[in-house]
Amino acid sequence: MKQSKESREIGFIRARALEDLANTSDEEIRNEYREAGQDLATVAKQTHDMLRDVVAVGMRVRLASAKAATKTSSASRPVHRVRPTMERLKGILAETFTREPKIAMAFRDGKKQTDEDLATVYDDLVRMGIIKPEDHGD
Amino acid sequence: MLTMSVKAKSSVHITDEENGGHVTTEKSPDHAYATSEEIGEAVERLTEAELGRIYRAAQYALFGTEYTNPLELLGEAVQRTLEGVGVKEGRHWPKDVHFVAYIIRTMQSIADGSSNSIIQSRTAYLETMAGRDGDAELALAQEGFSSQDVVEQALEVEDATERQARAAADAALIEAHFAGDEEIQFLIMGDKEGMKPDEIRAVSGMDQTAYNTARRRYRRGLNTLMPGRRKS
Repeated sequence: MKQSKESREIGFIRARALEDLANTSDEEIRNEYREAGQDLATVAKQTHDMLRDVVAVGMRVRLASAKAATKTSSASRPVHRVRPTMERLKGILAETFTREPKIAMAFRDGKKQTDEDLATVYDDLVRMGIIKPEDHGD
Repeated sequence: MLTMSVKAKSSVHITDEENGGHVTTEKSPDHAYATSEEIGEAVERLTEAELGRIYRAAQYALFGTEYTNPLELLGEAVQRTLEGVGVKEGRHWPKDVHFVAYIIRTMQSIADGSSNSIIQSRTAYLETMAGRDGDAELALAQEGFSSQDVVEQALEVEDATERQARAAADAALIEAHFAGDEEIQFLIMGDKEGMKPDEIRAVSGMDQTAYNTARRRYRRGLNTLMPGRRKS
C-alpha cells in the first residue's frame, strides 16, 4: 500500500518510541512515572478496569451469540425441564460462577439481578451445557 | 524487558493493518490462538508494571491516529482480538507470544492502519490505470464505478486528507516540543526518515552513550505530550 509521507513519518516515530520502551526495564518505567509525578498504581488500575470491561463486554456478546445459536438449533426440539427451587438455583449458579469466573464476569454489569434474571441465566447456562442439571441431581 | 518477544515473536505472526490486520501463521487456529477465556485470564494476570508499560505504549501508538486517548486505542486492540476468536478473519493472539508484547504490537498495527487509508492505495491504483495522459473519471468508468462511487470516494479522500493532516500535526507538535534540544531534533529527523540508529549517530555526531541518553530523554518527553485529545 502506498503510504502518505506524513503517515510514514509518524509511523517511524511511533515505532522508535515503542522500540525504546521495549528496551526499558520495569524498574525504569516505574521511575519514569514517579519522576513525571504520575501515580503508576492509579494508571495501572484505570487501565486494568478498562481492559476488564472490554473483556466482560466481549464475553457477553459471545454468550449472546451462543445463546441465539442454541435457541435456533433447539427450536425444533424443545426441552421441558423443571427448574430447581430458587434457593437451589442460586446455589448452582454460585458454584458455576466460582468454577467459571469468566462466565461470572460476562454477566457482571453492575446491576442487582432479580430472581427472574437469575432463572434466565440458569436456563441459558443449561442450554449452553455449562450447567448440567443431572450433575446437581435436578 | 520485552525486546525479544516483541521483535522475534509477534512480528512473525502479525501482519500490518494495511494488509487487512490478519494474523498470519501456519499453525492450526484451534490450538495456536487464545480463546476468549484465555484472553480474559491474561488480562487478569497483568501486573502493575505491565499495565504501566502497556499504557505508555498506547500513548506512543496514539500519535497520528484518530483515537482520542490511550485507553481507547488499547480497548480497540483487545476488542478486535476478542472478535477474532474462533473466526478466520481478524486479529488473533498466538499463545506463544507474551500477551503484553502482542497487545503492544497490535496497538501499533492498528495505529499504522489508522494513519493510512484504504482509499489511498485505491487512488494510487486508479492513477496508475489512468496513465500519465489519462483522466480519473475514465479510469473510474473503466473500473465500473457509478457516480455514487465517485462521491463516496471523494468523501474517503477527504478522510484520508484529514488523516494526513493529523499525522503531520502530531509530528509538528513533537518537533515543537523538543525545539530547544538539538540532539532530539536529530532523533526526530532521523526517525521520520526511517534512519537506523548508527546512521543517526553518524549524522548527529553523537556517540552511543549520548545517543542512548537522548533517546531516553526523547521518549520521556513524549510521556507528557499526548495525554489525550478531543474528538474533532
